Amino acid sequence: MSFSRSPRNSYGLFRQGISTATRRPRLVGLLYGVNLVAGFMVTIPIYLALNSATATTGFSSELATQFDITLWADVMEDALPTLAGLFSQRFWIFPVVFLWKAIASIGIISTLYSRGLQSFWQGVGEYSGRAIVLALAFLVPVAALGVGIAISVFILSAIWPGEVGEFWIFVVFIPVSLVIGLSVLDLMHDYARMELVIGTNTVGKSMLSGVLWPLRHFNSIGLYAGWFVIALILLAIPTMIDVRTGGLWGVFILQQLFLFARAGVTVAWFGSEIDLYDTALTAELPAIARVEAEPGFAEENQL
Amino acid sequence: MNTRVSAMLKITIPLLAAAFWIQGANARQATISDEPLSDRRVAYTMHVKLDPDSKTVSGTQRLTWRNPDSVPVDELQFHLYLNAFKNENSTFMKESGGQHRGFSAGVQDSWGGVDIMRMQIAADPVADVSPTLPPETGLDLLDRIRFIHPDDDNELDQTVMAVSLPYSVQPGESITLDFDFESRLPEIFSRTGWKTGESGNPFFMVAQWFPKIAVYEIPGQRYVPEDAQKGRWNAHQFHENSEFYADFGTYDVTISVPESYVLGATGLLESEEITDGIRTVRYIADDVHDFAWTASPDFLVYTDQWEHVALRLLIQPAHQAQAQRHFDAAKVALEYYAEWVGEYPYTTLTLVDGIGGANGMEYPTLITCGTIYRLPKWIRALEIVTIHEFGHQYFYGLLASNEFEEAWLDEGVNSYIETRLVDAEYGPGSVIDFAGFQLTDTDAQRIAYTKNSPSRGALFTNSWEYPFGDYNKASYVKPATVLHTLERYLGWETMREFLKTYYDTWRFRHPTTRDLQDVAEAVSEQDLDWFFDQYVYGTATFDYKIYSLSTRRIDTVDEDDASAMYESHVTIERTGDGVFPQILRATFRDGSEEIRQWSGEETWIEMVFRSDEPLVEAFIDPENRILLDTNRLNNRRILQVDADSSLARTAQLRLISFIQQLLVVFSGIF
Repeated sequence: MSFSRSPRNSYGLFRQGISTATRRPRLVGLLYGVNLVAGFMVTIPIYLALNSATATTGFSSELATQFDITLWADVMEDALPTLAGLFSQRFWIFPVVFLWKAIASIGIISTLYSRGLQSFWQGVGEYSGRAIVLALAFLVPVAALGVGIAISVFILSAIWPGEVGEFWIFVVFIPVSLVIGLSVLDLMHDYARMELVIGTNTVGKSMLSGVLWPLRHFNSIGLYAGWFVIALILLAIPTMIDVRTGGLWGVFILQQLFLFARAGVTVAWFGSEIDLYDTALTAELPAIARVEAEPGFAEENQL
Repeated sequence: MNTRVSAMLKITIPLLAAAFWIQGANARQATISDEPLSDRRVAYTMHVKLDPDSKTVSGTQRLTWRNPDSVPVDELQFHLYLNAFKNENSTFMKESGGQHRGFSAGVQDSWGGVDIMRMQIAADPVADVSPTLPPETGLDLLDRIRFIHPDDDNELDQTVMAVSLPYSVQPGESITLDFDFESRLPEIFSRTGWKTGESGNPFFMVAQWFPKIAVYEIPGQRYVPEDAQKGRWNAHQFHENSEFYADFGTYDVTISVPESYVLGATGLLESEEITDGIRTVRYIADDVHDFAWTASPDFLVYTDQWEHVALRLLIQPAHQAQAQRHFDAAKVALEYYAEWVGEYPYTTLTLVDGIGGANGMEYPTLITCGTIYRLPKWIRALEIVTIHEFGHQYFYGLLASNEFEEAWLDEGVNSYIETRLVDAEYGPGSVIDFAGFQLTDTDAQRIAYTKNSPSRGALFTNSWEYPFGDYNKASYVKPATVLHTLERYLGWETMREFLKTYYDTWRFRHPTTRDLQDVAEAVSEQDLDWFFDQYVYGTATFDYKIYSLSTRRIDTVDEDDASAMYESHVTIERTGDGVFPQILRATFRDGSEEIRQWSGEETWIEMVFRSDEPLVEAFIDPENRILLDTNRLNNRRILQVDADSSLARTAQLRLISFIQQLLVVFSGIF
């Protein structure tokens, strides 16, 4: 890796992130693989239920290639009880994904910051407990965000009654507020994790430091927004791929390539943020302390 | 230009223009006919004034009613629909609980009603009215008013009024009555009343607002026996699930509103003047059975023209950008209904973009449409409601069946044509067309019937007598599906001929279900009792399924058919109580097909095929002609050995990526 200690511009940070991801294909593969397995776990009931409802009807091929709502209504009438039962058995996937995100993040941070000296799983083993507590702690501001938006909606509805107001409040304000609010919290959470792993702080201090981070380092917001847009594009493209392009398997493989790239973005995103974190932290150290300090993430990479 | 010619032109052009204007003005009339189109049993002349502060409409009404019977009539009956909102004791409020189609009764001033301050027989010696009135007869009828409740035992309901006359109206003669009345408008939650708009200004939808005489049905008309000694009044209370029924006639209505108000009404604007801050307009309407109007200072007005019809749109400012969509939909409707049903005989059509519960309603030559701010073009709710409400100009307006007793003749027949029209005009995705999801109107109505307790609710039912909330299903979506099935059975050309004949025969005459069936049978030259008995008068549900399919190689070759090597068995089961002639298509391994017909009457049947190829598929109703089928999935079956997982595999592979993305987004939140 070639992390540099000098203050970086946005381009440099992005390049650093991409470089990190390309050097960690196994890490990218792990994130992608877990996501794929989770996808399979959720969709197995769909396969079973639909196969049971349609395999011998003669409509299977027809329904696979063209949408017919009246036939689908019949299919769902037949398959819905099975689907509902099987889906309810798959709800565990959501807390599992929550936990996986919490521990995978600190695993990524740990291995990237140590330049591979500490493996992903070592990081997971060392920091998982505190990372989960930190993630749970961040549910508090998430809930506060929800309450804040609800109060805002209540006030705005009183100020701006009627359907025009309703449109702007419910179609624009709420989604935008949610996206911005959750993104800001995610940004804070990322740096709180770094404080936990790199700064070796307590959960409370890490959270506080993470919350204050974007206020002290505005360029972290730009960096986050840049990766957010890239991630969004990578998620949107598979959705927009015409299913008639390249056949079922062709589309599936194409979509998976984009999702693999999205996993790569996760690694690259963390790589950029770690670079920014280390650079900023180093710059903030008193000169004497900096001299006496052990080589940091960025500094080490210059050696 | 030559100066003399120029001078002549200066004189002649204005003269010619004036002449044309006068001619044009004289030619303006409410219908395209110089002659009455209907029997015109009633004539209303009203002078009323809107008081926006008290939310009342008050004024006078002169009503002339002609006795169509061959015997004298000594009692009149009236609808006072607004009294449905008088208090919580009305039948309407008891049935609805103050809720109607998703809207709730207002909390500020939700009550309404009609107060009649004067009701008397007009004895104007100049007017040719009440000619047989004995000179000693008292004119005042107020004391003779009593409220009746023909549909239930609710003595507190005041929506139907009976008035015994001091003398009998002789056959063919008329009686003229004068009213002073005041209508208090409720806060709108069901069709009529007032509502505060976005700007804070009030919007008024003034409908079902005046004392309105009921329909007197003479022997032979509708369900009054031909040999009955006399006719009878047909009046019903205002119910949650019922609309209206009235006789054709003329309306001459003068309305006064504050100058700032924009007004629209049934019929043709005859005159308009502003005096001392009051705008006074006069509307005339001929050969209609109701009169409604709307007023608001907020309306923006747009006009357009379609052939002989002057279109006028009153739209809320927030919806201004959708004005053209209203006109486009109205013109599509005018075009198709003229082609499929018959000519629209009126010269005006007013489209009203109202508020809340006022929308999606029909009145003669005036409809309320309804949209929302920034409605996307891929959702055609605006177009569909406009087309549907316009269709009611025929099935309600011109054909004027009794909506209390046979709502399906208006809502259902209209829904059938609406779905056909919308799908023909907008194609696949006629209702919603977004990101590959396409919903057609016909399919939407079909599944709204087949997946909603299809065995409940006959079409031919009094509209207030549907238990379990089946009115909407039985009056709208089921009849649309029934008629689509009938169309596929008879063929579109026959169906169109039936619609045209029905319209030509019965317009302005209040047809019944029996009349409609008679026309269908006459045009198609078929006895359709089997169809109407099951799906109109009855609650038969339709579902046939391929119960089993098997094929086997046979050991002994048929002596008569040396090539026969396989014997295949198909068992079809009729799982519903509805019967419909069936077609089965059998497909063999080499792609060859064999069609067999079955009356569909038995509860099951086994068909045997002998062929030199094994049977691979059995398919009943392969052309998808019977839309009443409550489950089409079981119409088709293939051999177990040929089981096809295409759909399951496709759905899984497509959903995996979606779920993966969803999980990425979900994990991004935390």
